[in-house]
Amino acid sequence: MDAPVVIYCDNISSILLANNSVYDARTKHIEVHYHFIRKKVIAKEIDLIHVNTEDQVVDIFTKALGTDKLKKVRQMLGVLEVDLSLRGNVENSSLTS
Amino acid sequence: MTGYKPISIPFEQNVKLSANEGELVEDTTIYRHIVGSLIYMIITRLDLSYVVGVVSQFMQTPQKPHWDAVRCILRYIKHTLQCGIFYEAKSPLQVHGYTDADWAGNVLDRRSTNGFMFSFGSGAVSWSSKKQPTFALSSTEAKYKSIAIVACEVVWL
Repeated sequence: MDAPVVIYCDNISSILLANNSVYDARTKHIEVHYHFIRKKVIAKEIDLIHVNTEDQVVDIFTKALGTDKLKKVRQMLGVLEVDLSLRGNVENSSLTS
Repeated sequence: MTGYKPISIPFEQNVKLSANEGELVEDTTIYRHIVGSLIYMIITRLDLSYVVGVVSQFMQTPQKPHWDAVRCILRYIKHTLQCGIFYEAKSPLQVHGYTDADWAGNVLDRRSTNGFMFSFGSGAVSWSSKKQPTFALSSTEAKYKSIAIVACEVVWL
């Protein structure tokens, strides 16, 4: 891939940790293979960007969500209520969230 | 089970299931059967990944609250039978990744739950919800680990 893949994370300190390859007493207990991410950031294969907790779509994979948030996240992930008919084409298919 | 009422969420919020919560389920085989089928179902239904991950941790000794959780998931599936991932033809084809971790979310062993998702165009193409193999001392560490796991996935993609 030419351009770096953008990865969104909602924790600023872990992004800083990945962007800054400094040996730190507070992070020395983290296993070495997890520091693999730093190499990828230096090689410009990955670009880490901060995202607000409200816009964090992967909340759905880490905790149980309420009805409203679940609906919103589902829509952001591309999970929609699709008319299951095989007839017609993409333009005509009816979509509701 | 066909008489169950549909509900809009698969799992009660702020409820943490633990290992010793009450009576053992009478028919443990049916619990394992259903959870096994649900695991198969998360291949296409990403909104179920987390909850199915939770109930599958109690396959050994399923108890009443766990069975209630499974019933809740089945009622949610009934509510969202028509749902599926929709990939729009016109959307720009770019890979984006999202990552998050729930620090010490598991009450049994205090390990963190790790979640990531990759979208290509308008829909998700790769996702996972998994308990981290080692426990993290801080939420930063948990999320740092989840970023590293995502990095491995990026390399593969």
